[in-house]
Amino acid sequence: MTLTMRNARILRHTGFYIAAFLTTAFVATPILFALLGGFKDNQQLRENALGLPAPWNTANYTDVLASGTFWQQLFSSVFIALVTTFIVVICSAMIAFAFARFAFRGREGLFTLFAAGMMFPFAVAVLPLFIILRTFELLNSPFGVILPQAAFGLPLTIIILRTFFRQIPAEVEEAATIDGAGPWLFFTRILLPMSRPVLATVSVLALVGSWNSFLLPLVVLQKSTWWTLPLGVTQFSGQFASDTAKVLAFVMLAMLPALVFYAFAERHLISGLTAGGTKG
Amino acid sequence: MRNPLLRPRALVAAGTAALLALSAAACGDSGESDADLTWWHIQNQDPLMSTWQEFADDFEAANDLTIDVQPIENQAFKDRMGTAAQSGDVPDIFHTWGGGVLAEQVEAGLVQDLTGKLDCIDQINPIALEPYTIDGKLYGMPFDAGVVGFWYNMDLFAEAGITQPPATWTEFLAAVEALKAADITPIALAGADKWPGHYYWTYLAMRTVGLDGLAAAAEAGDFSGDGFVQAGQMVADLAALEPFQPGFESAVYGEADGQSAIMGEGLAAMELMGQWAPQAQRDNSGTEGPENLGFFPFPTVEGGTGTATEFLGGGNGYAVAADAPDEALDFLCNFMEPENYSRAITEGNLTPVAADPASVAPEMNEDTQKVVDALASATGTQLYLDQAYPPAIGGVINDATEGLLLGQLTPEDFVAMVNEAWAAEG
Amino acid sequence: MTLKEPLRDSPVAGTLSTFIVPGLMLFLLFVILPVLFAAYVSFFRWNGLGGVPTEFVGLENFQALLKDEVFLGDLWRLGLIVVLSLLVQLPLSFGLAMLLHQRFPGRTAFRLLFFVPYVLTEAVTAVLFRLVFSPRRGFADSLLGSLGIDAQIGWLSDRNIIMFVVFGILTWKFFGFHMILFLAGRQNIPDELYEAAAIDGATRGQAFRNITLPLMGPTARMIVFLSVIGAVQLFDLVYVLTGGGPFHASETLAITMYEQGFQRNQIGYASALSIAMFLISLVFALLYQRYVLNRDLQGSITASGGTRS
Repeated sequence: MTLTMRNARILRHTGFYIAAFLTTAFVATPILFALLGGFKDNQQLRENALGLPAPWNTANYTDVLASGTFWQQLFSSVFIALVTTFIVVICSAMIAFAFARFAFRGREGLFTLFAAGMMFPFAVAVLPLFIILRTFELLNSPFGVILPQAAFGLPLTIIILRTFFRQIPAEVEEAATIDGAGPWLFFTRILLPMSRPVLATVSVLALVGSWNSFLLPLVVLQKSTWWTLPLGVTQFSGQFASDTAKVLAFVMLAMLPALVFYAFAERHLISGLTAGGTKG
Repeated sequence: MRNPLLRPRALVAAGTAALLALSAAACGDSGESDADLTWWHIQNQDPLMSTWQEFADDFEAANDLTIDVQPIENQAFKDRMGTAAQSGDVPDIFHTWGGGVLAEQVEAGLVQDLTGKLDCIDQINPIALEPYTIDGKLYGMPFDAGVVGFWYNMDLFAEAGITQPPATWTEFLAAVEALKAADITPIALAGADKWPGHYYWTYLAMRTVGLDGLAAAAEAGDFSGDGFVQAGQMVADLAALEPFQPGFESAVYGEADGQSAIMGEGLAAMELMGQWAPQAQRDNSGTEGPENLGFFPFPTVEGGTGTATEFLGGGNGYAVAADAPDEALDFLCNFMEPENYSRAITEGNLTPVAADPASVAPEMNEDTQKVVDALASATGTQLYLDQAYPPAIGGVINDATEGLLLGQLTPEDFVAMVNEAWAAEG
Repeated sequence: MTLKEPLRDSPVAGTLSTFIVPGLMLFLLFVILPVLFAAYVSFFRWNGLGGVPTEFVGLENFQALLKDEVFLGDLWRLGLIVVLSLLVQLPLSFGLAMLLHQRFPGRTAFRLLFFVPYVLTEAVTAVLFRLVFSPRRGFADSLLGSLGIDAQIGWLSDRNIIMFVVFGILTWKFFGFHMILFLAGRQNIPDELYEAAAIDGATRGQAFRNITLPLMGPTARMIVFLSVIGAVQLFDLVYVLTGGGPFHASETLAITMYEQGFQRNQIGYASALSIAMFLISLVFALLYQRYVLNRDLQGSITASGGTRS
């Protein structure tokens, strides 16, 4: 009896592992191809696409790392992502606070307006955005990317934050009011610190969104001064088209920051996406 | 919450720091490059990429200014130039092929009128200036000019028993068949890039209706004549022979698996391409290119008005932004300094536009010589249609040729699409 | 919602507006205004070079759109991607979620790993897959070759299979995300339900059919919604991978819009296309909300979360 149960379990587990390893192979193969390909030279890539590099050739990686472009694009990506996140989170927190804790006329209408913004596909707006940014002379400026990204990040962030703020008991605010704190003091000193987990979650969402964005930087940043990594990778793959190994090295290095970030912020990322996926 | 980066306070601090950094870095300008001159060019591969960079470095040193040099891959350049033109902010110096694309940029007030402003202009062959001349004013300076024709691998032709380059379309199709019979890929083509395909339709139209017929059709915006339908049919017939390398539909021109690399590695017998082809074959394949590379003009079509000495062609040049500083003009003429220009010609195998070619290129590379000879024999030239016409129409022609080549459009569809595009341009 | 609503006196308008105005300005300027502007421009013929549109053409752009085979093809391909997602990607991610819900050593590692593709930037992924599928240096052909299959597959050049290749990459990229959502949905089902079912003598299969499947419904419906909206907007991955080719065989709505607008300077026409995309999303969202999501309710995309009473 116990033996058959154990057998059944072993059998079941074997099934799990087969499925899991197959999926792992599906997921990991392209990434390993990039990682190892970067250590090959083009000759090896052609003749030995599958095997390990022999010899290991670090020149592709060191070349990319030694060039200023990679670091400059990394800086642009990080900078644009941080400022976008900062603006989205601050603006959304204030609005979500107003929605959650104030009763005022037009509140529901305004909230619907923001919520409806989630339905505007970004691609729809990119053409007119381009013309509007041109009018404001924001083309080729990081703010030409930051402000629209932040604006499009508002709806989801507001929805998530509002839900959270509403769950904070009214007593907390009443106590603060009795102590003489106005809305601002309550907001900055009490509400925001209490909301750390959810703020971290929405921040991660905004960071990732900005990090991955391509279409907007593509049309806004024609000059390479502020190019982000996604733009840089596509341009690099055009410019060094005949040097496949080097392109693979650049691709791998461009993926690396996201992977490292994921390793550290995995929980926030996933809780954010699940919140976005079910609430949004 | 273990990650310190995720604390709101840290985030606020980071954001503030970033804002401060920004105001320090980008204050006062709208993200413009700090350089005095920006320059976009499409010589994105060595040797010319380095040569161009050195020209810029030398000019920077001599004039105490900075130049932001951006080598951009051809297709990416067209994309970005389109966006830049709409943004109303084009680089100080940018690559141009002249024609309708340049005309549209001129009309939008983006391009500087160079008439009488370039000291070096009399060193350039006046014929080469034509594509850059709009309403009698000069808007660009060429550094290279040439023609499109078939570059062919003589050894592969010999292997297929073809002794004479084909002079007529019938002979050409026979040659394609012979190559196929000998198990050789007859033609390398970058299907995904579209522009290499449009040479076929353009040339066939030039052969059937002649240059005058083409000009008249463009004037009237009406390409319904029999000759145009016939040209489309001939493109379709050629494609039906399956003469292109496997996977040509997604191939681009300059990539490890692209059109020019395949020619360079001797994996296809010919390509229809401009004067830059031999150099690109070497650059993209990382080889020395085919040992015996020949050139023949696009064959004539039996019963057509066009002759073999009418060439599709054009050159490469630079235009200057309307608001660019005067140094941009000096920089253009810097190219024409005999020392620099002959260096560019030798290293990059450019086809010289100098009024007196012997002065800058006493001994020309033999491939270049073939283009120069062809140009000298030319009785008429037509600029690449995707540059000669406004972008909306050039785009349709490129696109529709791809449709013909892939058997997705009929010649009648093609003509209707082009006519519609002209009508819409109004 | 049993929230205690803080009943406050109407606060000073000034305080309120300091909270709302910055975000609202941003939103109006960069979200609402562009959409309105696109709607306006879609009635003009305009090449976008300087100035303002002047050549009013009425509904001409929209009429042209309905006759444009590329646009109609885009819609067809959109449908294809949605159907394939429903038939292949969703069952796959659901199955994996069920798998990873089981306790067995190493499942956390697998969960982390399966999510990795979702973290990678679409454009960068596309560059990678271009190289994987490159005809002569690619990895895919070498891999098949080593398995003894010496087929020359035109991964990116064969019009008949390109959409399946694109879909394969989309699956690679997104199944992990959908799996995580399913996993979260599964974890929200209280164990007590299964315990009660077991006491009533239900088999595993019955419990799965009568508890898991119905209770996962809301999650599945949400994922379908996200997939459709995502498919309407699809751009980065396909644009970098194929540019929409060969001859439009993999083109998406957003790519057509980009080409018309930014490469051919047909801003009016491209704006009409933008508006069409918007309408498609809107109509879908409203219908879906009305007929599908309605049952699930709770804090959905529009303001339903805000209504109490």
